[in-house]
Amino acid sequence: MKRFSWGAFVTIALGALIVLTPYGVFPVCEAAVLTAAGGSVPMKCFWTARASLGNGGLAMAAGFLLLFAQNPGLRLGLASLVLAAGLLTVLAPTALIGVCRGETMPCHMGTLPALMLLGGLTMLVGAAMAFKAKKAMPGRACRGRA
Amino acid sequence: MNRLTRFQLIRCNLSRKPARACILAGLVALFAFTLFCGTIIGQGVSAGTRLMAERLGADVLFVPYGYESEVQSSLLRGEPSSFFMDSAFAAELRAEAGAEKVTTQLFIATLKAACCTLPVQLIGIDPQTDFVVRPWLADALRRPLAENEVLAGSKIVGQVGDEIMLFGKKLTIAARLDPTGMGFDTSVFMDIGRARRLLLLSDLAPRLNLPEGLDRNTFVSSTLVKVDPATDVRSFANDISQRYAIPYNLDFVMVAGMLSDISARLQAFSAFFYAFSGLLWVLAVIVLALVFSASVQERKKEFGLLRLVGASRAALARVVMQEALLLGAAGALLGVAAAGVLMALFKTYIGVALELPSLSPGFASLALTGGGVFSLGLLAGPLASLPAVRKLGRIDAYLALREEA
Repeated sequence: MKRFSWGAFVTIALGALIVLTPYGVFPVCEAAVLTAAGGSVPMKCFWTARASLGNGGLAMAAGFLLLFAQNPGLRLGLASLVLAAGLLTVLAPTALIGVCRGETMPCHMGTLPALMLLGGLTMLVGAAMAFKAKKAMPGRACRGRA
Repeated sequence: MNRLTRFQLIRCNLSRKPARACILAGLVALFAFTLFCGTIIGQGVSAGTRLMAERLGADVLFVPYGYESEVQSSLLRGEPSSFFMDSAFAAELRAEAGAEKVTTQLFIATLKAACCTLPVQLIGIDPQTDFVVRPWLADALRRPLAENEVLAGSKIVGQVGDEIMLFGKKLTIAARLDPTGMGFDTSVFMDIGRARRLLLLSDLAPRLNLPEGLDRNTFVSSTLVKVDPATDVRSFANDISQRYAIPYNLDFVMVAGMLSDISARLQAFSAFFYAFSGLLWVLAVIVLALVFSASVQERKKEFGLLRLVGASRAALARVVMQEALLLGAAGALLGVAAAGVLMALFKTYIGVALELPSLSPGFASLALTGGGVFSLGLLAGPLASLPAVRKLGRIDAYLALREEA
């Protein structure tokens, strides 16, 4: 019998929030940095927002597939993907790309903590689903077929 | 044969109805979350206001007429603004009886700084007379500021020795200020004469609408006064205002009045949070009590059976109480942890949104508050289970089994 998956729905919701946060909920800084040559380049947070589109989209896609996946092995794989998307969501504004340095800049005081929180929650949900899927796997499933 | 322990019994009962257990723990968590957040925010504002009162130094701020709210916004929240008045007033004020210390400041809102694209409040200070900014210096600076040096607020990006760009000029950070919890944190300070010259040479000058007749070499934004302890501050301010308000077109802000406004807002805020938390706690206890009473009624047969196989009334009461304790503990822990994580992540955002001087409480204060809130949440469970325990005491094992049969 097909079981209702709360985890999948929560993952989709978290993925949607990760996508929306840098553009609507806690928007990143709008202005660009002016260069000495007179041009303008986007600030770091612009790229973090772009990365969040990908990370949130990845979490949403994995959550959507989890709604239909019944095979425990497949669920374990998808849950691991959710965990990885959460980890990337945390790493993008902290280690991989970063945000503006000013503590009171909108991206530093709003977007950064929001993405860390959402990424952390996505990791928790992914880990819980992975644990559940691992428990549901048959004992010899990983040993291969003779 | 395995013996059925009390803990196993509790675990079985909770896992049989996980939704109910989650809702009950969630109710306690909501209480703990609200109380913890409210207390921490209140403590932060209280600490910020206290520090401001201790170290600001000035009693009265004289500003151009109509700019009282601007100077308060700049001081409390660091909202950049520019306004100007004649510095001759400060010279006259120094000669007044009751004025112990007098200094002037120049407020300039920059359009942008190189580190970021948000405007920064630049404050020109008079190094000869300043008694307002120096007490906040994190490291002692025993020499006067050089021509290209600035003091940076605690939230300005850059370390001592780093360069920042203002008005197209590279300036070096000579020292940093301690966190003040107010607008000084996001301000940059420099010599008032240098600030004036930078302003007049910048692209910003034509847009500032400097008043007609203002001496371009000596204008200031505000005059700050420390009043002699023997003099009544309000009488002094009123007296000066009566005599100088019209010739200099000025008004005044009393620091004590500003602080008492903050205290009044803090009290209202704390009262609301504590009342709301109290209401949530009472609600949690009532709901838990109702659910546990209904649960005992529902599990009459189970308890009757346990009595027949030898469980004492006290042992059954302990099962119900410990179940409630476990739910209370889980809820309180979840609430305090969630509030702690949110407060830690969003501390700057909350500080800015509050529009009040605010400092993050230290670890000891956080731990103490967390412990207190957790204890209150923990208490809710056993307290709510008392009616159920009383009901349990009245169950007759034989009748209970017959009723349900």
